[in-house]
Amino acid sequence: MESAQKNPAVEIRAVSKQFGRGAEQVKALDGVTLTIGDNEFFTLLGPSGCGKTTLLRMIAGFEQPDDGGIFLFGEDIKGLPPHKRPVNTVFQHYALFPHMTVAENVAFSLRMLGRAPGEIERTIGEMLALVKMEQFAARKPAQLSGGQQQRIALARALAPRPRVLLLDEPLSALDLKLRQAMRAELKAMRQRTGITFVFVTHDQEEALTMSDRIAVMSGGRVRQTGAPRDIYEKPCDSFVANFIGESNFLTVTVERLEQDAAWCRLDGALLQCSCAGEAAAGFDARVSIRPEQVSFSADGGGGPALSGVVENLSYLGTDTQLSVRLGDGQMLQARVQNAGRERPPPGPGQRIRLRVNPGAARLLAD
Amino acid sequence: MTRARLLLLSPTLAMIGFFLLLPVALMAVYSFLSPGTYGGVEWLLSFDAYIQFFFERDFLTDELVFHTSYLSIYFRSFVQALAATVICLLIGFPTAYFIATRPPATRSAWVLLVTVPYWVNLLIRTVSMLFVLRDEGPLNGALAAAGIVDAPLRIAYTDFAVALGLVYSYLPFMVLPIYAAIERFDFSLMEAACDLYAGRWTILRRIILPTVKPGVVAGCLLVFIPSLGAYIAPDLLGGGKNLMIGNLVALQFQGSRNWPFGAAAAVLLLSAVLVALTVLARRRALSAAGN
Ligand SMILES: Nc1ncnc2c1ncn2[C@@H]1O[C@H](COP(=O)(O)OP(=O)(O)OP(=O)(O)O)[C@@H](O)[C@H]1O
Ligand SMILES: [Mg+2]
Repeated sequence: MESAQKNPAVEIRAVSKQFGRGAEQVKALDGVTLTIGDNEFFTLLGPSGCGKTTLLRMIAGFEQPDDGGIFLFGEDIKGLPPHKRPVNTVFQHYALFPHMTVAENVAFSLRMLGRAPGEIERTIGEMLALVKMEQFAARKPAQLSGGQQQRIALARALAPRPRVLLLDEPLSALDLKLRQAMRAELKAMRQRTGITFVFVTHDQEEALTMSDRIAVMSGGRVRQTGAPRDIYEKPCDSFVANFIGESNFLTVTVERLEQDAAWCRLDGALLQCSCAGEAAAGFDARVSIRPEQVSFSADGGGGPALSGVVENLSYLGTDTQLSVRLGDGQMLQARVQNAGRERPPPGPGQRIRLRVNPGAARLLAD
Repeated sequence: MTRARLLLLSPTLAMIGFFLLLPVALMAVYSFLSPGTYGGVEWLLSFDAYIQFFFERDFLTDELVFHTSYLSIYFRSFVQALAATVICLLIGFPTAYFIATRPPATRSAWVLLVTVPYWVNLLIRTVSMLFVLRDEGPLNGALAAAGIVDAPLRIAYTDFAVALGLVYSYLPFMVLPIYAAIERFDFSLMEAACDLYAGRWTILRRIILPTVKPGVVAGCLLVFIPSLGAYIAPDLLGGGKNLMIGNLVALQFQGSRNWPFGAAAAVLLLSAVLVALTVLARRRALSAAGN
């Protein structure tokens, strides 16, 4: 009950921002509206240049919106300088102070806030323990590896116990193994500290594995907001479906509409689709079908089946991906698991029957 | 050292040897010789030059008495050079900061502007400065016309004028190294500090200054050392009344024809600078090792 009345951690209302003038004008943010709940791990996901950093810097106070409002726990923070906002940032390239030791870096904000020396000492210890870097307290940032610097940047930003922590692609400078390890650590860290995390990335896998909710952005707009599962399984438009994971985009004819399903005809077969937006019976529309939602059977048992000829076959380790040309000429990618399959996959040129899992096809809004 | 390396280094080594070490060595040797009657030196070993610097021979008792007339010239030079350095720093740092924070396209134009005074000979620049500062000069004219002063301000031929002259001569030496340091400064550190609740002054003091310190030290040395031995500014703008080290040395080679004494004065200056620099370098090495 109480949580329903609580203010969201961050509220962004119809924020717009332009850079430059005349011909060089760039619309970095275009009417962005978002609500980030308290204690959430919220991710801003989108391709390069879509305005993620700009939005994050606006929450931190480094940029001012041209239009719209930003609220922190219900309070309008427009015009408040960065050092007056209870928000801290983990910068993309860490921005550790090179002339200070690790401990001094972590203590910096506490000194600025005029905390008592005893408390500062205690917090340094706690923060370094949190990121498992106790034994590096006396080192300078230049004497640390990239992953270690990343932890210190995190400890430094968490030390003053901000109400919201902003992270701008903090893992992008790390190698793959470390990146995967840090994902789990960051997620655990959020739970342990109870601080709202706003995380920026252009890596969809990162976003899917870590976030409570994701906002997918492109061209300065938010395309879709939702839990990772919703974003992946129920993309609202072709941009989201394409940006997150792989998908087939096929043209179908809408036959019949039900409450929250649509029956569409694809190459003679009738598919049960979920709806992203308005749809009208009798018209052509686009659906997105994830390759792993397509199964095949050489003979074809039960249910509405598509049929097509295998054109190409790629072995991907855990899976095999088949490119199949349907009877109406459209291509469909199907991905089948290699484990536990007794028969070998069909070869190129072979005609096979395919089935799409009921409701797995998504009727797109565009 | 390989032959090729020696060959490549030889022009530099020859240059340093002939034009740097040899003259200094010659100077050091001269300071221990006796003055010739019409200038030059007699090849007779003598410590008179150094004795003369610190002691006076009493007329009656023929005893050596410690005196400070020459030391006071050194002291005055030191104060003048220090003042010039501080003023240069106060003007130079904001200037360098301004240039370094311009868009990259216009930065080099600003740097070029800083060096413009250097396209004119130092002597001419100093003389024209004297014309500006004179009692009848445009500065006093403007002050009088504005009704700020009744009688002309006495600026020319004062220590203040000398300081102005030194600042004018050496300001670019302060601006350029600091500019180079600030240009390399990572401005995201500033944002990080601001994000971590630091105000503007704290950011300047705790983040910017410590990281650009090497540039500031270099600038200060490049202004302080030539100011200490400056000749033209004190000679012209100080009216030759309040001697600085440079004038004292020059006098010995021209008017007084006491080459060994001039050489000794120069060697003492050189030694003082070397000692100071060594101490500075040692301290820096220590603090670097301490971290
Ligand atoms: N200070 C600025 N001046 C001019 N244009 C800017 C400025 N900052 C950002 N932009 C422009 O605004 C747009 C959004 O930039 P932003 O940095 O927010 O993108 P991003 O989503 O963080 O991209 P990336 O993933 O590459 O970091 C880009 O087109 C960028 O060129
Ligand atoms: Mg960015």
